[in-house]
Amino acid sequence: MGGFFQELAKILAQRWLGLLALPGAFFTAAAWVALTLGQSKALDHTLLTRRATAAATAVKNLPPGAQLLLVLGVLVLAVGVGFAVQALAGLTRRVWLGQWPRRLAAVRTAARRRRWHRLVDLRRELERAAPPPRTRDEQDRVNAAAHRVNRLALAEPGRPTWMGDRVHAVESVSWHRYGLDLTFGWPRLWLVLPDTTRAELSGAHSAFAASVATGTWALPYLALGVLWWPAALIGLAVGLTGWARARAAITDLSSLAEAAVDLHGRTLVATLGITDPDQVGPLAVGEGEQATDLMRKGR
Amino acid sequence: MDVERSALTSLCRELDALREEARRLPPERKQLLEQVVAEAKARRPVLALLGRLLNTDGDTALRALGAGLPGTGSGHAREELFRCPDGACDLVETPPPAGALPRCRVTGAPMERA
Repeated sequence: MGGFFQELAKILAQRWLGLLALPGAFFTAAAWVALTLGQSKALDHTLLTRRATAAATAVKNLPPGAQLLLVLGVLVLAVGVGFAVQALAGLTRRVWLGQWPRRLAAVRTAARRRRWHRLVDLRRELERAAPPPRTRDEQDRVNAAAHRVNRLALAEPGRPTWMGDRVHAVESVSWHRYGLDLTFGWPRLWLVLPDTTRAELSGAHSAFAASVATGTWALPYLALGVLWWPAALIGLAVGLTGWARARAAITDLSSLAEAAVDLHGRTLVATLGITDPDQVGPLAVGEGEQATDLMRKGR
Repeated sequence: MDVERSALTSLCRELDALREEARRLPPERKQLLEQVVAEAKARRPVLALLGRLLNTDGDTALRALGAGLPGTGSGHAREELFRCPDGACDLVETPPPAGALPRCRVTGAPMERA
């Protein structure tokens, strides 16, 4: 048991260091550089070296107690910045997943929906122009058209962002193809999923959460850009990295979630007692709708 | 689960795609792929080498093989066609991709997959 707690403490310490202390320390250092150089001498490395040397000498001349207090102060500051930034992660998540103010979201969603339908129409035109059996080239053109549709959204868009639509597609497929409303169905489905499936989903979700945390670090750097423009460039790079990783992670997460519904939707419906546990075959819309009625309870 | 066996299964399944991908990679990576193939032929462990090839650890090498190279293309598009639920008329409907299944406008019954 002691070994378990030691391992746990080690993991927590690593997370604390990786998520809060280290990025916080980097940001504190960047803030010090920003305050030292300002916009007019943003790239003056001679001035920076002189100030850094002066600061190091001043610290060296402090009594050991004061040095310790200074280190502790910097650490507390770094962790404090880390906590403050992590508190903003929810905002990044909402923006990326398209949980925007209603009017703004409606305009953007409508534009995405129009574009998606245009691409679907193009695919249908190609399919009508070359009915099966097709030549290799004809099929390649249809495949490419379908790919363009899927790249935009895997079902009719319902959110203002690409990432939001990845999640929305899972809900949409579950409702339209199985009659399952995931708003109420997902927690129940989660409870009947095998451990391996839950582990895969948790892993993908952790990757997404980590990307959101990375992307959120762009905000303080962009704000620091007001004092020192190179900080805005750092913020841009950090934000783009987090955003790119989040897109990859949400692709995995939504693919796994849709696969979980495809593979285990029947288990949920059987566990709710709607169908016989021995029944096999794809889940029918009617069965899923009965399950939804049972789960929503008129809400 | 025997991870080496699983890695070998993934390698066999995706070797063509890996070779195709390797054409665009520097020579040392191609060499590494051939080394992986040689080890696989000799029925020796390949997971660690695959990890080096894909720049990942053992677990993610397995995962990347299962979800990475195949699946990056456009795939094979399939149209969905639905016909009258009791064959009374010749209407054929195609719903939007991943959209709601069409229903008979007269009886309200879900149309049947053709």
